[in-house]
Amino acid sequence: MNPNLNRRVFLAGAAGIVGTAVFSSRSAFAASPATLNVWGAVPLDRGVGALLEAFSAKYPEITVNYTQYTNNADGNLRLDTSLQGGAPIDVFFSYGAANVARRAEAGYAADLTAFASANENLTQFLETDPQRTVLFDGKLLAIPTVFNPYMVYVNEGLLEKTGIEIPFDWTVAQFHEIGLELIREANLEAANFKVLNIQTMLLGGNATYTEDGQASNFRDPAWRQRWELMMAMEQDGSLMSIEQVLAQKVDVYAQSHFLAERHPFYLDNPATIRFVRDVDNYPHDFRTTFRPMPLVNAGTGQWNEGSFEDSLQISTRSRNQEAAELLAAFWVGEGKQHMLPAGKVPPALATEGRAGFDAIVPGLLGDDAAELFDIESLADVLLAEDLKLSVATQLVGLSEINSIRNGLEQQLRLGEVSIDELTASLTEQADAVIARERNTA
Amino acid sequence: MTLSPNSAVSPSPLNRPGASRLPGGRRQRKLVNGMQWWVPWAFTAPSLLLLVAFLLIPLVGGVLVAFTEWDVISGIEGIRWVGFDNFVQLFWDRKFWEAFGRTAIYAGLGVPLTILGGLALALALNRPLYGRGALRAIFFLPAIVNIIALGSVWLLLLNPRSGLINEGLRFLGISDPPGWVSSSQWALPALIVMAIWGGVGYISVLYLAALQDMPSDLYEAATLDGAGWWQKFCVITWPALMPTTVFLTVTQMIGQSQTFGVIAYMTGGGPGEATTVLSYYMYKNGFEFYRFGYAAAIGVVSLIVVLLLTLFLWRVQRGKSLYGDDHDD
Repeated sequence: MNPNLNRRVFLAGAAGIVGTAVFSSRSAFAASPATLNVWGAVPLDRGVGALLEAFSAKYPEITVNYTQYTNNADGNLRLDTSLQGGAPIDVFFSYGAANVARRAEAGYAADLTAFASANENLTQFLETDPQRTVLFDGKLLAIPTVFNPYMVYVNEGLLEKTGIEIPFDWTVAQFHEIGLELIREANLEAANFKVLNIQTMLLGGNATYTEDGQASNFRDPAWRQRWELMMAMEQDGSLMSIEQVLAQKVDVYAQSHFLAERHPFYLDNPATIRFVRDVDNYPHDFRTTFRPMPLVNAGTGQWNEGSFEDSLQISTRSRNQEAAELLAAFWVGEGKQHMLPAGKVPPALATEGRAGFDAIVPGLLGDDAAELFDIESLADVLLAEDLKLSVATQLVGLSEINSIRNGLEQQLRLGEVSIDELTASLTEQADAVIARERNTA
Repeated sequence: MTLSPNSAVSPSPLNRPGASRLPGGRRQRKLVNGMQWWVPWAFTAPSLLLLVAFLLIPLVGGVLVAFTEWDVISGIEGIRWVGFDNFVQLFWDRKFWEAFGRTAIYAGLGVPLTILGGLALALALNRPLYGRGALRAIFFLPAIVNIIALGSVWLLLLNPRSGLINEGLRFLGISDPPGWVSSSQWALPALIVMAIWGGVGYISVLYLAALQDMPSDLYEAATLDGAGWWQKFCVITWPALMPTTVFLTVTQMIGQSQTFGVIAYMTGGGPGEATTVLSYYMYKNGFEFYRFGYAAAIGVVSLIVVLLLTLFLWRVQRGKSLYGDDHDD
């Protein structure tokens, strides 16, 4: 008998064999055939197709069927009814806090806490920091796949032509003044399309509600500041007039006004980068430079109205949980480069710093990056240390309240109601919605 | 008089010709043409099943949902029976009544004006006219064009600054023409104008068919009696067109009170809530706010109102047709 083969060595060997068997079986599962049904709103030709092809190349045993739904009321209801009706959905993307929360609270989203804790790209979402993501009873039920801070796209050509300079620590007042100056100097239609969300900058993602969430917060001075600025810009023409917004049916996207040099500014997250680099559909001969969102009060910190978005959720009914986790890990890991041309900046950038930025530049900005973009300004904006993203956690009746607010704000801009009337009416209606929803909850 | 057990005042179906006797005294029902009783049922069953599955069940389901509170995503187990609560809420809901009022204005103005326009067009096209066929096709075109395409063209036409309509009004000396879809006062009238424009061609085609079906001897007799154009219209044409008019009024009223696509595309119910009619208010409550019980209650109220209106119109026109009541229904 071999003197070295004692009981301890034997047990260690046995443990090794069992471990190898377990490990092999896990690998075998990962590689075992599975069909994943994925629902998302991003079209296949905007990076998703390439990402899924790369995933299939790496995991040929896993077939992925991608269903594109439209991220509007009809499309979201279609996904919700499909989830509720038991349609075979393994992975789905939810856009916006309300959609994430509704599906999570209805029990359709699997707990991804353990999965995220083992993935270096995702551990940041397990923090309790509310600017990262929302935990539901301490569980991570959604993985954001996009880092989406708001920033100001600026026509650099117009700045050069007019000799106007914009500091990186500019204020809202300067944003307004410079906008007017550019309109005058360059004979433009307006300075900007979107309204500055002063209330979110000052109060964060839950600006709509009082701190305890029991009532609306529209009497807060931050809201009045928003409406006063909105009206001042509407009246002096620095904001695209509501008359034209309605007549031209410009809902959310007005990048064509920026890229056709009708507006010098455009407020958005990095998603608009895909339009700026698309010179075939949006021909233009100026460079785009970037600035952080202007400060409401100089020298003080504030919230950025952007957030981590495009949340991936795995269905609790999925019988392919492990294959779904492989796809999730691939999406935020090596597959993330495929989403860059669509302007989808991976969340890892928030922790990777400059090295991470340099790595994504070719994919994000394209071959003509230097001709179309002021790359350094983009780095400064995206990597700013004081960037504090906002996340909405109070969501009671939010879509209804937002609908009421949008209607009244249209009337305000059309001169049909005053700020006081808007505040009174909005507060009354929003409080009624909150009370009704709390009573029925 | 007493009846013997074998006599009957009217023969039962089994005693009628075509009913044969089965062994044991039972009789097998046959139809007049000798067909087994179940054969027609077998032929109609597929249609009946489809009707039940896609009309009756959803209709009953929709009415039942109106008595519940349901957000859809929580599934069947999330349905909560609330009785008449949704209807009570509706009664006190200012936005509901506003939407109801807008629907009444939209359909109440749109339907008669569309019908009058269609009638005028039909009368014009009923005369000998060069290129009459082509003109009919052109006027009918809006009825078959996609609503999004129509909406896009109308948005261009109605643009307050650069639209053709306001350019024309300025040319006529109106210095401050309406804002149309950019104005709370003018958005609904703009949609009514669009509905009239879209419906006139269809209406005129149906009126033309009715006009060409009319007996010419009545007009000849009226001419001999010395009747003028207006008298002929009042005494012959209008009464003869009554069944068509009622049909068009009812179908247009139903269609326009449920109008949705053009509003969803062109105004989204705005500015403010200026074009939020009942159907759009129902959509918002269901699809955007996930209040499906409440949305269903709005649908039930709409259904009842349209039903009552339809019944009223049928009653009003009875006996007023040139041809008598047999053409009424």
